[in-house]
Amino acid sequence: MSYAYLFKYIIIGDTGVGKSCLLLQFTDKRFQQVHDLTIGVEFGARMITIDNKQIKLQIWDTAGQESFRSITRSYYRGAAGALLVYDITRRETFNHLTSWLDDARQHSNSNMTIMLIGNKTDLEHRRAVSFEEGQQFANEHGLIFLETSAKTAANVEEAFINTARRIYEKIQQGVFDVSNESFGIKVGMAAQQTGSVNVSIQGQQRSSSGCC
Amino acid sequence: SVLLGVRVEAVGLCEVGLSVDTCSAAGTPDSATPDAAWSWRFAHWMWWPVPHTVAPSAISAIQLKLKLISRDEAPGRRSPELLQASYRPDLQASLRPGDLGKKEEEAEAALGVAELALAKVLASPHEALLFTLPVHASAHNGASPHEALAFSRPVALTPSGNGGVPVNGTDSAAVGAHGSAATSLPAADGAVVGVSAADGSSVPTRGVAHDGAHVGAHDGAHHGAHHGASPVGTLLVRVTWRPTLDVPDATLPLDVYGFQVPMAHVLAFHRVRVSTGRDSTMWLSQWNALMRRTGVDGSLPAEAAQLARSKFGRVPLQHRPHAWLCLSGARDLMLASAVPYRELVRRAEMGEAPIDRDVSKQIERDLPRTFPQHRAFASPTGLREALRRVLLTYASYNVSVGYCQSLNFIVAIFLLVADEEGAFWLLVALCRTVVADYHTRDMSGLRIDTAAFVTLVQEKLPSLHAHFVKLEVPLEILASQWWLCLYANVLPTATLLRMWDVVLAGGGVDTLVASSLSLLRRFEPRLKETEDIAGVYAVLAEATTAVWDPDELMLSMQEEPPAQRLAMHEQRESKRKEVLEALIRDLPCSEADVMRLLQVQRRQGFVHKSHSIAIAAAEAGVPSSAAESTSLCAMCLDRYISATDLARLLLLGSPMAGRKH
Repeated sequence: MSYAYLFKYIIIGDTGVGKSCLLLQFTDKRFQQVHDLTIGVEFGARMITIDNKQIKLQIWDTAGQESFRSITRSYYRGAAGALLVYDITRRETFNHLTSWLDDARQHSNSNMTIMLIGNKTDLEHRRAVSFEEGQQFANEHGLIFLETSAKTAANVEEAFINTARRIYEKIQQGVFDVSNESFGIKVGMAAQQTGSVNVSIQGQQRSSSGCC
Repeated sequence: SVLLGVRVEAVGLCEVGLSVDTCSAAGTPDSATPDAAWSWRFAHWMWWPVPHTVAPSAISAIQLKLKLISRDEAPGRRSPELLQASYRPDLQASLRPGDLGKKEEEAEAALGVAELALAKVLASPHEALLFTLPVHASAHNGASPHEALAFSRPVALTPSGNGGVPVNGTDSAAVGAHGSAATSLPAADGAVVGVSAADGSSVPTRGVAHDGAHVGAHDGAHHGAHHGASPVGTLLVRVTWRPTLDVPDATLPLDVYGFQVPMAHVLAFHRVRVSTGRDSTMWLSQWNALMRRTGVDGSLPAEAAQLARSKFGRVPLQHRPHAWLCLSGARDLMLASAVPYRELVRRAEMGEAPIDRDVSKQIERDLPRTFPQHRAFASPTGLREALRRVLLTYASYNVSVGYCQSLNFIVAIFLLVADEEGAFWLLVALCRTVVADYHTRDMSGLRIDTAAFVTLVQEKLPSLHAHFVKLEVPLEILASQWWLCLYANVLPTATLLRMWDVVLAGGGVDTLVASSLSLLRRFEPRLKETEDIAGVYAVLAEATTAVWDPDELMLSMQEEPPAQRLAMHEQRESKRKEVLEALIRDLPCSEADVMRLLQVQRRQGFVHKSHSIAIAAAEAGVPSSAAESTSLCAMCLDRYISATDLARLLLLGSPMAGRKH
């Protein structure tokens, strides 16, 4: 499938915050109450349209347990965008953000766009981290911020697309040398094409190592 | 259908064995299963699932015929006494004297046979019924105790909620074959369990303490030919069952371990089931023959590992638990452990053993994310409790691993094959010898092996490797995903377990490497057509779940050139230094400290005892405050600690270590 740009994303954050569910909701538009936990990395891909340009998002959904960071973080480098996810019902996942952020900044290119996501807004009654706290953390560290629910799909599209929009703006501003693929951006065959009109979003196959 | 598990432990018996002669489900057209016959000698540890191809509701009783076998190979040297204990659906048991002298054509003379027909077992899945069969010397023929044995008393029967094993008093005088009685015992859950014997006189039965519950003790007069003879031991027979096919809304078949067969693979599943069913008798007789030659200490003959690793050595379902426990060394670890599993569980649950709070929370969170599509793990009942206990206990047992996601999948598979205690020791053996340092915090072993694997792929499958490089496929991560769980959430069950047969029989990591290589080779044409990483993952996910024939992967693995193994070792050695250096860079202490310690470690080899840790630390110049810390020593005692983790532990506790962070 032809695209103008390909952006590589990583999704990071503590285990159990809903990283895989966010990805599944974004690529397949469904929510799975129970699923096998992620070991290593899983992948998803989807086309979005920004400014009439087809942009392919290639998303790396990483395992959240700390020991896995030693094998996944070497792959942060080539990412254009990162979704840093915490669970609004579990305070400790918010407290660990600094460590995730340090890790991401240390192992990625300095122009990586980071979106902070407070997930599970459907569990409002169990909220342990307020919206303001999330917003404040994002402001302090220069991140974009959204609260989402992978279950109800609230803000899930926005989370992925706003990040892409920000990256796209940076390209327009000439922040990146797009011919250098280490920024997590690839220029596709359709880069010069003006593209079609509607926001046509095609869910693509999402790999999973699900069991028999 | 039903999986019937039987685990027998012999306490205080020597040089005898027990065989489960037949196992059949009564009340069904399929009541005779002659293929389910096996035998062994003096086994501490037995637990066998027996497949039945009928619905559990159709089974009115299950009969088990247990045979006590003498070590003595020469049959007919004595006339062994035969006892039969039959549990009828009405929960009445009877003892009948018998004679197996007629069966002298058999290699082993049976000393006694107990037939257990279990009806109540079916009332509740995952619940165990426990029988104790005290065994005493038959005094009448003047033979030494191990040469003439018989079941001396009728059986105490108790339902039990979990995997515990009671301690049964063996000091009471036994009642022999001719003594018999009818006694009603109030069982732990209030159900009345009847024990009766043929001639109606009363039989003394001692209380069986189990999980705090007591089966009522009834002391009666001692009768029988063997009055006054001391029992030489007790057989503890634990029977459990698991449903495999009774999912009411199941439109898709389940495999024998209870995993649902995906729609796309139903045909392949049936085809393979028919083809493997055809030759299953051959496998079974092959393994039965081997099992009959079990050593006096319960160990398998040396050929067992060879057979399991051979092309067509598929371990039959019935023998898998015992074969795995023996071949992996898990059984030896269990027997050698100063602390039994139950005590380890107790310590972990009572908080006497150190468990990181984050670890226990993490385990809790991962329980519902472990095979949620499998019936035994889908709800808080079933095997989930056992899964929790094994993981928690292991976290406190091996602090250098604690809990690593992926162990949950491994333990779940172990629990489907063996029982809880067996699953625990299998895990210990696996992490200690097979995939050492794979699940530690730094995953050093895994990183060395995956790095070596990438080089191997580059060498053996150059064009595929080039394609992967172009698409930026993270081959190391892919291999990590496969190997951390040992394919537990990747391959269809039959193929997976066949691979584990080989892995646990000494094939180890080489098996993982060879299978990964052969999978990549098999799917190379399709993989080369992919356009992005997601495509690669989709092809692999689809392709790996389609390997239904357990022999297929084995055969293709064998086709890998024999030089493969050597190449991998060379690669591994060259990567080891690289990875260790990277690890040391990440350690929160100075490189000099770690290097010094690692040198000592290497000199000393495998370190897992507190005193040698203290020596290693002293030689390395680690401040004694850390090395002498008793809690640290206690944590390291009797546990495997990898060199890097030990270095980390010692240096973290060391105030003098120059920390980077």
